[in-house]
Amino acid sequence: MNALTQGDVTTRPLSGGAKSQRWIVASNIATLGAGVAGVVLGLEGLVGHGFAFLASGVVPPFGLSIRTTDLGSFFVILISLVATCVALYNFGYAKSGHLSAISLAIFPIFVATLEIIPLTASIPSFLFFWELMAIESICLVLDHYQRERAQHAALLYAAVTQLGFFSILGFFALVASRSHGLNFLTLQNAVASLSPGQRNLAFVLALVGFGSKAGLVPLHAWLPKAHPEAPAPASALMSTAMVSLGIFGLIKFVVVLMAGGPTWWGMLLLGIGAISSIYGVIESSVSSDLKVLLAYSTTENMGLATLALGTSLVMTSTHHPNLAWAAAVATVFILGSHAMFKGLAFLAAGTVGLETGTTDLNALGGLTRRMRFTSGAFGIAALSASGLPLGAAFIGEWILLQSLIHLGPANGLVALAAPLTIGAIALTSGIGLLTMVKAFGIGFLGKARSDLGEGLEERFGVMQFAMSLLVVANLAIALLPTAFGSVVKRVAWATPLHSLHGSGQGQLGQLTVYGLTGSIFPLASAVLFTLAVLATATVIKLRKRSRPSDADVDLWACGARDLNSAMQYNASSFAEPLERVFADVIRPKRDVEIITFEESRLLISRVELRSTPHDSIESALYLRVWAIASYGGRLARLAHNGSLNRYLAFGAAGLLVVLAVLH
Amino acid sequence: MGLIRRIVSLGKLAQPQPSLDPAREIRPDLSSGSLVLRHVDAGSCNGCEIELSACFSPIYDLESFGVSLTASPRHADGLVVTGVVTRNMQKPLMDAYIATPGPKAVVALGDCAINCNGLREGYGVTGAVADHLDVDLEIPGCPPEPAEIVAALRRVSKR
Amino acid sequence: MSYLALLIQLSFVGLGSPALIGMMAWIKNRLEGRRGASVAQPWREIRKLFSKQIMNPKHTGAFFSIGPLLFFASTAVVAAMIPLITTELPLHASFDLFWVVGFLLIGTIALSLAGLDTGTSFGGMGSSRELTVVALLEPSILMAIYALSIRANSSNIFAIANATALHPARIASPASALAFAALVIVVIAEAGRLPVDNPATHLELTMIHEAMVLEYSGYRLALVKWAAAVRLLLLLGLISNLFLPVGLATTNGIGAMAIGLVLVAAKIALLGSLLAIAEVFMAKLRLFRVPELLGGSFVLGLLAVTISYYLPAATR
Ligand code: SF4
Repeated sequence: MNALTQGDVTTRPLSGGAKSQRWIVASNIATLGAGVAGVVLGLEGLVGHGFAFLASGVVPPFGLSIRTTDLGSFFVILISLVATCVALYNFGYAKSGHLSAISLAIFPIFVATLEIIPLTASIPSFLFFWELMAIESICLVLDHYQRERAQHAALLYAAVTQLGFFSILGFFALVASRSHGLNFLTLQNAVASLSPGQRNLAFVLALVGFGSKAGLVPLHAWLPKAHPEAPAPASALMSTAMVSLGIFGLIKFVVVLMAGGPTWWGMLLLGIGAISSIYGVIESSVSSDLKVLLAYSTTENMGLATLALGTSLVMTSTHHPNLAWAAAVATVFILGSHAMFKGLAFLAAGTVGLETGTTDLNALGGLTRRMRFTSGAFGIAALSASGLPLGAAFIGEWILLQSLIHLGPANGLVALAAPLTIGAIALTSGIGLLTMVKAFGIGFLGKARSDLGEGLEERFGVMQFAMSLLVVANLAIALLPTAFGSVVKRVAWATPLHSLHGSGQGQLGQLTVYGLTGSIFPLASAVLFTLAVLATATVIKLRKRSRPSDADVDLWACGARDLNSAMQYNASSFAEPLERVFADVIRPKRDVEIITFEESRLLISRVELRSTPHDSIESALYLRVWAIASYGGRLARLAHNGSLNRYLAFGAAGLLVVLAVLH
Repeated sequence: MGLIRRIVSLGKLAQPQPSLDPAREIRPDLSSGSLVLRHVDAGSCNGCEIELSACFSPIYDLESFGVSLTASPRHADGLVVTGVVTRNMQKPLMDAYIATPGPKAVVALGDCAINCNGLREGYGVTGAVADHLDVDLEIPGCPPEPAEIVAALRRVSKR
Repeated sequence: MSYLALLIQLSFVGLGSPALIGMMAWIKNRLEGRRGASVAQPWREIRKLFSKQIMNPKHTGAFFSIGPLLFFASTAVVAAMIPLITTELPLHASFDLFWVVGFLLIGTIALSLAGLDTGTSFGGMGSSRELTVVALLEPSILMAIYALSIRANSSNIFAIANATALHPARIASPASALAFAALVIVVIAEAGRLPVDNPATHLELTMIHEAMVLEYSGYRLALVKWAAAVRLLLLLGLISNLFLPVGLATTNGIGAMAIGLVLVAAKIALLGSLLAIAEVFMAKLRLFRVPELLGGSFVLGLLAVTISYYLPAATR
């Protein structure tokens, strides 16, 4: 794990001087512009009139075709909100020389690409920008291209993303086979004439293609490798905007374009979502690098979104329109809140990496005093991510649970699927709780575990301002979810599951889901909670005279003197009980190294216990695929011996085969 | 089932204790009816410990008089110290005392804690408890009987 | 009027919870052949702690000092969100079980973070163990809530209690019994009672909850102890009103509330006594056996759900 932790350690400042400063400012202004423009465009698409245009022969050879949809505009807003904050953040981040010139050049284009994808309206436009996004993100992962880990991560990411791209290509080839045009609107009519078998194949291809982008198990392995390598602002964008586009693809093409399918589609999505969320959160809970932890948590959250999407498909095909609608609303909330808290968490992790030089939890700690704003920001992000009430993620999960418990007597597989799904959500949020307490408690509270970043005194700068914007966004979702009711209603409506009227808005910010009983009062509860805290504190303050004056003393710590920071629980020991419980899934590698004195092998000077969790799916699946691929490569090399005659013979044979087939 | 039969057949094991004499109460500032003590073995032969733990058995049931032991001095109202104060335990004893929030009491349990019990000249002995801390209550005996300990501690807990 | 009801409920919870702890300790003591301390003993202890000195250890963060406050306040908010005496409390539409249980967890988390903030090994150990239990408890909680909500087609506490009151025969159904068993295990684990955690322990190796609060003194400790007692009372009250809402007033009449108060106190006392009696026969489980217990609770909840789906409606 240790080598992974060098996320931000090696600094490569741009060759100093005014020129590079201008370069940084130009790049950031361009990114900011792209972000703000995206917000405006998205709002225009969602609450304004919308727009559509076709520019032939511009960048993609088939012309650029754009059309706003409610769904697309929602994603544009989501992406551009994060992008705006990232752009602001970059003003501070880039100044310290942590972004290479190439990354700086890519940032604005990357943001623009991300924003265009949800708006594209034809296959060539979509594929062009989809591939562009992949290439740009690979470049961002390669920001520290000299590092072997970065090269490895980029290679893995490229392989997975290309696999996904080919699946998507296959998907489009299938659905377009009966169509007269490549426009999505034309396609929509054509997919109805596909045979069930073709539709099923298309669904599976779309699932592989978009699932790989969303980081769903088993195509998740690139996430925890790529994020620690990419600079933090890039991670923030990739882990929120880019992975969300994977889910966007599933909604756009499976739910909207193909208009859903048989129950097993939903069941498959549900199953993959459940496995991804549980697997993601378990791996996340045992990681000891902040960025790896956050990356696995992305798999977890995308799994939850997929699970919600699957639920809505199942509910549609079993004729529960309002439950399907509720699950769709939940999907939108899960995606929205994830983008906000994960963006915030990555930016905070970036600040920590910048100031202390590491994101290894086992070297951090005691940051609340040295980095007040960043600690607060990460605390809010962790609260939001943990799925506790008063946190943003709770809203989506609650609506999803409401959808599931209102199912009522069902039969067959669905009757078993609903409780198991609830179990999966519950296990995910339970372990997620532990993960976030660990990330915040070990990383930021307690005593510092190393002297990295000692004597820091954080000031409120532009980076802190960018984070505080995201803090506001998180609190808004958590406490005033009803404010987003009308937006979410239209987006979930756009996933044509059924027509029912929106999430009701009662007094005091009461959140209800239309057609379902049950409601919560996030804002009122928060106010009540604050009042209770203040009242208790006041009473205690008033009674101050009835007790002896406070004393400043040393920690008791059960009598231990000279307590040093290594005696605290660290990231590995904190998750150790859970690691034991899930030992079958994680299969941690344990090394015990006993170092003896030179004089005698019986005198032990030091015992080192290292427990490395590893990705068992990765080692079980990827390594095998790797082995098969390299075997194939070796076979292919036999044919390439460099002899011109043999190549000519191949060409002739190929030609003969083609002629024979054509006849 | 065997356990139920035993519970029924044994009934109440606790021995009746004499009622409390208000005139002998000490430390009026600790009059809450709850006395939580942290036990420190400063260098005892463990005889006093055996008697102390006997106080919390069903026969004497010191807890029913509002006295209990705790692991953390932060939760305590005082220390109960047994044995002579030895060199090794002097600092931990002071640490525990400092860690106890006020108002707090110190109880010296057993002759060793009160007057070193003839061990004062030992090379590892730094003195009796009173040589280090202000002692509020002395419970003499080598070791004291549980009934005596109970009676003495009730003077502080006032139950 | 509903605010008066809330005030009565809060005072009942606040004053009654130490007595509940005292009563349970007294029962256990009597069964062990002891004389037993008076039922008011926990009260004396909490009152005493409020007037004791505060020790501020050096090098602890802000979370250490506000942790107990958050723990207490979150418990107080939950105390206002559960219908114990009457259903006519302010904001009664928000008595959502998921929300209430989640709110209890906020307090748990605040205390765990406070434990980590001390920077001692014991704080971390308690926090790590507590969260492991919580993480594995969560599926059981949600499954039990799910099983309960099927009857009422809602996760609102009031709706569930109402559905039970309307169809009293359903209390004896197999699904209900299974859900009850599942929920009892949840309550035991959540309240940190035997066999999951031993609130009376002072042994480092077995501590869960206690390990997080070792550094607290004075009112901070008092808040933690008081809130822990309140939590136990709330959970028992919740169970009794979900499965046996007898006496739960549906108006704000003084008479109805008086009956509600007496009956809920009786129900909680009965459940508490049963728990105390059961604890005499139990030893604490090894930490790594606890997941099995919680897994068992999950399976019970799952069975309750599937039974209510598959059995005909009359027997549900
Ligand atoms: S007083 Fe007696 S029993 Fe107690 S420690 Fe001293 S020698 Fe041992």
